[in-house]
Amino acid sequence: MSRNILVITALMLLVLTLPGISTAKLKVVATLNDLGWIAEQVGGDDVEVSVLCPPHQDPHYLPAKPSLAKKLKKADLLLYNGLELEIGWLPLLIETARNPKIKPGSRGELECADALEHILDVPTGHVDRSKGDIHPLGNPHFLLDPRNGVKVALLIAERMSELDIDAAERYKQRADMFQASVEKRLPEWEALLSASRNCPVIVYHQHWEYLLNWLDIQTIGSIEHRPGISPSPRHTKDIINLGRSQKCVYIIAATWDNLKIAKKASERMDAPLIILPGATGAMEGAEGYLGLFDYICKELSRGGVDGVRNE
Amino acid sequence: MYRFTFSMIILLLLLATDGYCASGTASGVSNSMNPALSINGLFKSQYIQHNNSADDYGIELQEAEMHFTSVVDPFWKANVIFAVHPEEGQAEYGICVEEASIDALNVPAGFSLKLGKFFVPFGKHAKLHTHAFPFIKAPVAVESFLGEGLSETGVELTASLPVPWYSDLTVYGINGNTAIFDNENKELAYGAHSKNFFDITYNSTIEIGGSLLSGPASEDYYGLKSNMSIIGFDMTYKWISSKRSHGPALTISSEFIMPDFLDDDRTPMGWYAFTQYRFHHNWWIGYTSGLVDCDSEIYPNAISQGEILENKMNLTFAPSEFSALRAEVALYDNQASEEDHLCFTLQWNFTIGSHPAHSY
Ligand SMILES: [Zn+2]
Repeated sequence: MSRNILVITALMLLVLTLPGISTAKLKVVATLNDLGWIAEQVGGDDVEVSVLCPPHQDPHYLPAKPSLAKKLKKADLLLYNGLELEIGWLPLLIETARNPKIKPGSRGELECADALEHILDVPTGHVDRSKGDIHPLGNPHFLLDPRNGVKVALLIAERMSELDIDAAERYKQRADMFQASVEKRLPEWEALLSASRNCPVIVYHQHWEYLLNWLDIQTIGSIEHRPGISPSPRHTKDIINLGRSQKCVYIIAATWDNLKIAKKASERMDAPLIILPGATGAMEGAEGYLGLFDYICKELSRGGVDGVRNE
Repeated sequence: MYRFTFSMIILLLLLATDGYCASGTASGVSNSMNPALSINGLFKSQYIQHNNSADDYGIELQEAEMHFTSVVDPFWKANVIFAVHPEEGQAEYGICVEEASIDALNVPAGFSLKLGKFFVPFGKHAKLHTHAFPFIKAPVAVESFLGEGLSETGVELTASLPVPWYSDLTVYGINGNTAIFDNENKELAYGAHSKNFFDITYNSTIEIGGSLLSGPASEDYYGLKSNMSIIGFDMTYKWISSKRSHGPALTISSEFIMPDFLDDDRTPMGWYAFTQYRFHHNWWIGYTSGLVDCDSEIYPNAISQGEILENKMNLTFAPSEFSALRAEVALYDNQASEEDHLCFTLQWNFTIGSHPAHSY
């Protein structure tokens, strides 16, 4: 009798420890494709990465499907953008996942915005929702500056090393390699856009502030003037007038924006509309984080110089 | 000695300033631990046309909901909802505790534990906050068998099942002296709910649920059976375009509710089905049809004796996630009394503060 109990207990212990043995890889879940791609570069063979928000979807409004919570159930590390970009769906998914490893405040969750030294568009003075219902902590789209991607990679490497000490050296090495590969390309991208420096442009959503700030291109306004609120016809008219008077060079929109309004503004302003991938892999040819900037810089340089419309 | 006293004074000073920092203000009053708070106001203006009595009209506060949520300590997270409603047929308002519960923070992976007063997980509609209803009023089937918001005190344990799709099983025990059971009884009512989600394509999902609730039968019912059980099935299809923000979206949902089968003459049951479609950024259109067939003598919440058929259609404009305007036409047709009424309703609602996201 007691031997049976012993055998059963031993079997149960074996079953309980099996997942630990079979999955030596760190399971990483990233909210955004950019973060997922960076995590793969830093983690290499030591990690297994999955992504919640597909690249073609506006990350502000991802439906919190339970199948996404299922991805989080087994995660050892959750990487998220932060600055409330994912506020509409991530807390609900974390709650539905019931995984203590990634609960708020634990070592298994990392807000990548922590890597930033400077956040753009931080509201000053009085803050309320009359200014829109997203971006209350500042502009969250910082991954569109490749230099921020590097900072995030170094932060991710640090956290991965904490969770998986054995591979710490490799995480550090890979993050350094990533940094070197981005830094090698920076001058190339910047040179491509040197002619557009200080050019006035209009954006659809304030998605491109970090990108344009990095490239010294000047944003004079956004069609969606209050983040998350559909633009009113009156504001659209105002922005068209502004674009005309300031000689706006082009309008930038993401694939998921309201392109009907963007096209109308583009025609009235007589400025080309450039539709860009809002995330790694959002358009064909923008694969990989470096590929994303190759694509964006090429499109912007074409749109800025010879006014090619990309539709 | 002099140096020792000096360093002690410095140390005390440091400790004292540190104490002030921690409390936030010199008075020791701090906002830093306040719960997240949100308030929702829901109003309606209604015109009701009866086929055999005078018309009704009015404008009223349908519900004001206050929601507080915060971590309590390293062990619990709390959720409290107060709702203020106008009292039936009176000019006064009543306040009720819709939810006052704590969730354990340190449970093994895959489990959750809730204690307190909470919305009983029966089907899809019973758990919705009033401002998240797809139509202005709950379906007659839900209202007749489950009451207006089935919120009870007890314990709820949920486990994620290890199957290839997303599956949750919830079991709970609640007080039996609720409106739908025998409100004199001290016995417990208990139930279970199974929730399953399947992704059909990336953009579409199907949810299939089954519910069971059993408790001490009310007195009228008692002559027939000492226990009353209710079973329910629900199925929801959702499709949301992922290519565009605020692009087209479609929900089709239906629920079937059936209490104990009694005898041939009395086969109580109810169902509803609805569809909602977002046809333009902030605009939704909805249609629903539903039926309840039950005996008001046995079911205290039953809207009336016999069979009621409902048909409703609405148009909703939600300019942001925090406000919405809705226009609805509803036709209720009572088969037994040949009484029907037509309601035209305008509803508006707003949310301020930080309201936790509603479940998918
Ligand atoms: Zn944004």
